[in-house]
Amino acid sequence: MTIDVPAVAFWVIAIILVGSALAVVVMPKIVHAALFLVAVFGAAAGIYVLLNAEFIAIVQVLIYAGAVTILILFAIMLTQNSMSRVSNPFSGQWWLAGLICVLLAAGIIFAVNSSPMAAGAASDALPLANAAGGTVVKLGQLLYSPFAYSYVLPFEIASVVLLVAIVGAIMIGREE
Amino acid sequence: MTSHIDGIQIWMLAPELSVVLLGFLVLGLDLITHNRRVVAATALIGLLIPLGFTLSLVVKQDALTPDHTAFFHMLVVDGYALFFQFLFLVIGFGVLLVSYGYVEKFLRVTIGEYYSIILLSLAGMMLMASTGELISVYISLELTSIPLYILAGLSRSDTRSAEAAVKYVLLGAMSSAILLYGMALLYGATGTTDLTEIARNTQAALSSGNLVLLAADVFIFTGFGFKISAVPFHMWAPDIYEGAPTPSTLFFSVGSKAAGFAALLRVFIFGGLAAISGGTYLWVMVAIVAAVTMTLGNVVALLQTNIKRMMAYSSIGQAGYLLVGFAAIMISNSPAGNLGILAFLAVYVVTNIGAFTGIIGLADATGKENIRDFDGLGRRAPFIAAGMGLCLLSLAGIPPMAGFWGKLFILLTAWNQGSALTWLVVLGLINSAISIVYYANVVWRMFVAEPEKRDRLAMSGSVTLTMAVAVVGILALTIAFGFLLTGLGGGAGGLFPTATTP
Repeated sequence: MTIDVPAVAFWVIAIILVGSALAVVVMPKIVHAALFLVAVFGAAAGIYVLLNAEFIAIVQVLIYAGAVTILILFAIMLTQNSMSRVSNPFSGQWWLAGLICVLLAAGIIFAVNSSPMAAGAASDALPLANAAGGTVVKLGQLLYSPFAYSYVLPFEIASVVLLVAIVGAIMIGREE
Repeated sequence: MTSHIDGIQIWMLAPELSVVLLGFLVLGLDLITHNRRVVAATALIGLLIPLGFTLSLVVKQDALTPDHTAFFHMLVVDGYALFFQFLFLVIGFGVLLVSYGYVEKFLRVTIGEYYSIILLSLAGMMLMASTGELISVYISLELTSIPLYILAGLSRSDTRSAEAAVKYVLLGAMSSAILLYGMALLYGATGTTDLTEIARNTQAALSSGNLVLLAADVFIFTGFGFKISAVPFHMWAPDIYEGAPTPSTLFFSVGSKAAGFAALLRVFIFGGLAAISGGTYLWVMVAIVAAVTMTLGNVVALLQTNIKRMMAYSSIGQAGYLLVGFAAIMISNSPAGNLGILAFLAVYVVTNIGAFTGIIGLADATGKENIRDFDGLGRRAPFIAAGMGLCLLSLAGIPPMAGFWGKLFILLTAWNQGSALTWLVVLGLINSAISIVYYANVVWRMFVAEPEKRDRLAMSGSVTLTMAVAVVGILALTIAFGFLLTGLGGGAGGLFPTATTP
């Protein structure tokens, strides 16, 4: 009997991912929740590796698991009362939210299982991984190339979004 | 199908590009000169450049790429996109002009910073109407929304403003997440993010009853439902409208709503999602949301004492009428409902700018924003009160104002869809009658009620000028509503390239 290694790895990572995501929501201390967020980002990077998207996986670890969580931890520690016993309290209607989430998840799982999906079909044999020059070259072409199909327009809009965010942060955070 | 990017494609992006560059210019100009008039004049006159580019695209439609798309189908410059570009430039002109005095008096930011944030958001709105690919639609939505969060929190001495900004960020992020979930499901089901391709693939999947497409439809409608403040996703609107600085509120109520509808229609019609409604009764969901939105907006508006909260519920009610048009599109997949929505939006934008100009004028002069503060405004500031009264009566749909024709046309379109939407039309008429009460109440207070003070209010030049423009606009729309419909016909129908080919 052969073991399907990617399938086993997927289920292990998926359980870590969903479990950590739940922990982010239910942990009573906000710092613990933030630390579980690191696990969520790390597990997501694992999923990307399984999808042959190594570059995205590395970026995920560097930016999300590294920089973003550090920023979040800083923000928590600079906030008053963040170290109290129940800094991540439950809403009074948590049972309703939980019920809705379970129903929604059941609905989506049923829909995905019962309908044909075009993306990720067997014929869609991961074109990025087989491209000449590896995934990074292909990714670069997909982002900027003016000659072949590329997402240059949304990429440029995203740069304006970042600029707006910086200007806005200065406008709101500046000393009088 | 894909050609490399050339000058013609850059030209097709020129309106948005020039708005972004104008935003940068205004921001930089602030560092060089401290003369507010120079900065404001640069922004207002500078808006003529994107306007000129938009008009050049309208006139020279034959010189565009054959299928009117650029940047690998991500930019779609059809009549629909050009209509919205024009509408957003009008909004930008009105908001920049009317906020000139208010920013100096109440906000501790420079005029250049304020204007640049509005201009960059405006570029996002224009892109929301003219992008034909899911990632571009989403990132344009973020370019629109992030400046709006900033605009909500700009009166930094006011805790309500901070609360508004935090609520807006959290709920906006939540709605973006729901929208993205829907888009991810749509990508999963169709294997592409290109709306034209999606339309082709959904047509093929129509008979097989694809449940993922249905789920994606619901998620995407919910995500945009936040942006257009449809019930039950409206909870943010009153608090944020009340807490934000009033010119920002004006920008939310016209810009954000028009952009939300622009992208909603673009994704649902151009992306062929509306076509799957016939078999799945998705229009029932839209019709119910429209009914609840109209009713809740108009009934709760009756109870308000703060004019900005009243206008928030009024704008929820107006979104309800627009959704009646959307339900008509969903049930028939025909351009008629789309035409009604475009005409209604054009009228709504001009009238709401006028109504908010009156509110900003009063806040400018007295710092007050309750409905009872409007007592006797007819004697204290006759021109502003008269213009605002005209706009409120148009919003209420009193004949023969433009608002009446817009509402009549949208309800007639729904009526023509057969008996399925008759109840919705009747409900729309009842709501219209309810709305007269609270709009007329303000008019009555302005012209009949006895004021506490009788002194004349000095209105700033920018407010008076905006009101004059709005009044001329609304009178022109009233007289020329028929021409508006004829002119919009091409733009409304052009969104349905896939509907005719089964």
